[in-house]
Amino acid sequence: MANPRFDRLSDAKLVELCNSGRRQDAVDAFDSLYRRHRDYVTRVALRFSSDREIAADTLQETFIYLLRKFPPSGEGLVLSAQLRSLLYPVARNLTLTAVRRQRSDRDADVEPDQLPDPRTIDPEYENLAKAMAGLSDSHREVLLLRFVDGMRLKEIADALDIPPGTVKSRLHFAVGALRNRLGVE
Amino acid sequence: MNPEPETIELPGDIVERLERLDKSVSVLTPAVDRQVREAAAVHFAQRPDRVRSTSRRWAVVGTLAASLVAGVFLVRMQTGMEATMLANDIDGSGVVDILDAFTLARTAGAPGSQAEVDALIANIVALNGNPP
Repeated sequence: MANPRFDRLSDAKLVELCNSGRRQDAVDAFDSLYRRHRDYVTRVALRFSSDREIAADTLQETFIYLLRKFPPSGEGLVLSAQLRSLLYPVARNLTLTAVRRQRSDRDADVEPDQLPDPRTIDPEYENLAKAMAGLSDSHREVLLLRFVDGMRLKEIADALDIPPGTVKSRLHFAVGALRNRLGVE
Repeated sequence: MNPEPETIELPGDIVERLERLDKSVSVLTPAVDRQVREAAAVHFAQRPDRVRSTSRRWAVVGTLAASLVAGVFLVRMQTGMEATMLANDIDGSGVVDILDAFTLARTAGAPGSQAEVDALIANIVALNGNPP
């Protein structure tokens, strides 16, 4: 059962409890981390795949990966940035691996850009969705990481394992392209 | 404030719509929820629960110590009361009265017993609220 007392704690404190807290505290702390970031990880998966089964598998595997970072199997986690910057690359890579595997199984040749959008688009967002779909994966990705996930340039660079300068140039291009497509000055 | 994105900004309404678009989908994951919780329970079950067992041990020791102190206190209190009561309750009736003086008088013959009887009678009179 969820422990509401832990829901008020910061990610850093929950990670600390997972690292060295007593058994039940560690279980409750991890459960709080899971419930807090579950939707985020699912959304990240759905950015790269329209398949909800893949999203669910990614969700599970991402948190199993996180779980193994903690003792006794892992050495513990030091949170130097927000937890999302750690979860993002894990979820992204797991999803892309699953998509590649699925594509290989189906022997299909579908580029990620051509994947159908898993969302039922509200007409209100249709223009925006089309404009986003017109961006390349890498540009769409930095845009979402910066403006939706609220990551800083350094965190995006860490999450994508690319130089901060590359993040900045991609972001600059993506913002310009999106403004153009939406007709925003 | 974060100075990094100052040169790269999107209008607030677009950011808001982007957020809503990204969050417009939800996947119900009860099976995954259960599996992750179970995995966490198994994972951390391997970790010794030292803090908890130590606190339990101290709780037991504390309870025993408290019981012991309370027991000693009660016994001593009772003993003290009995000692006070028995100081002049010669016949063990629980009441210091003239019968105690008679009981003591029956042991007359021993040196100093008359003086003790007199003192006891004086005490009984005082206990009854009358000046000796």
